Amino acid sequence: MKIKTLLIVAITATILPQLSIAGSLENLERERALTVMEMIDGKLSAEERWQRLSAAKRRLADLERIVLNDKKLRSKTSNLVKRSFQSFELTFLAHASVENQSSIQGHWFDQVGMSTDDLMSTRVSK
Amino acid sequence: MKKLNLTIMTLTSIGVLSLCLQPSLATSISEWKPNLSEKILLLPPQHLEQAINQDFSKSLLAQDLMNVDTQLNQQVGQIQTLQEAEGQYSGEENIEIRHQILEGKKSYVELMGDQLDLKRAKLSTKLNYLKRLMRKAKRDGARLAETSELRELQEQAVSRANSIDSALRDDLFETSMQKESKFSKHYEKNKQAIAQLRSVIEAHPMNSHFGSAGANSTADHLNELILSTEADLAIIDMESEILGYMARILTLDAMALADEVHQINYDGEKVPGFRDFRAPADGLELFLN
Repeated sequence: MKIKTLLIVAITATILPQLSIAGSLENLERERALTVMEMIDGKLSAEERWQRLSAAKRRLADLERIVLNDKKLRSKTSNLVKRSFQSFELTFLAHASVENQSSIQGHWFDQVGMSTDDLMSTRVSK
Repeated sequence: MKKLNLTIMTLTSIGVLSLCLQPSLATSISEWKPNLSEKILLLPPQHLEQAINQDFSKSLLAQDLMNVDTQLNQQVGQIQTLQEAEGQYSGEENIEIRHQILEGKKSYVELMGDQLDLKRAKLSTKLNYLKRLMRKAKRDGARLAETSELRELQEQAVSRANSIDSALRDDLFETSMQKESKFSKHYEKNKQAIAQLRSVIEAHPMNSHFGSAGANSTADHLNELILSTEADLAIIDMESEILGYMARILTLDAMALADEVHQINYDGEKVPGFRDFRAPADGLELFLN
């Protein structure tokens, strides 16, 4: 029991600083996760999805600018921060989608390897 | 006669004192505790020493050093005046003047000893402070190397984002029905202001004069300052040696004058000699008579 508690404390002590240092980045990650959920939510109609995604794109654009201008991140050596900047295409979805001249949804699908052809060739099976 | 006896005693005491007078007054309270933030390292290297010297000039040690300098100048002036007058007098007056010159030189050596002690205290404090700054600069340099990859990635991301910023703004304007966010409005305004200020900084003549003050250039400059301070300390040690020789000459001069006064005192009379009674045969006469 004691070992279990110690392990929890040790893991929390390791993870918490990483989370706290990535304030702006964490916010962006959270918003990005919500946007991806909206992209793949089957319950939404096409118009609802478009409305929600265009609002999400505006929020993402703001959060991405905050991360890009966050001076505090420059002195951090966390892998989380490093990985985020290494994969510009996935971290900065709003910017990268405009750069690739595609919708935010199309850009994300493209990045995770799901093209229209791939999706069309799939079949529902039990 | 009494006066001359007094003179002999005084001169002898000068001689003895001058041998052990070296460090004296400087051991009093005067000190310098650098009251500078470690952010001094952010200054261009050329300004580092200036800031340290400015901090020193506000200290008690600097005031004491200045006071000693003033006293030294006065002392040298007095000795020179007495030396010029020495040839104009003879006899007891000449001896009195020579006595005063010796007194003046004694004070000079004392003051010079104090000055060297104060200078040594200044340089030691400066050296310790520079070494502390050096340790900090090295730590910063190591951290900078650790984060350099991340910085590079961030700079790439920022320049990439900047190149598509106007396209993103147009895209958001076209696709979104919502009003522009408060952040977005301020972001544009501030970004333009920052760009204008940066261009002014780039064009500023003093900017090119300072050059880039990276961690390495700061460490290099600190290293130069440390070497220069250590050289100054070595000079102080040599000056102490010179002062030691001065004190020895002063002692010899005092002994010579005492000897001269002693001779004049007995004015040609046979100076009573001292007999050695250490062996039993030396005191034989006492028992024979």
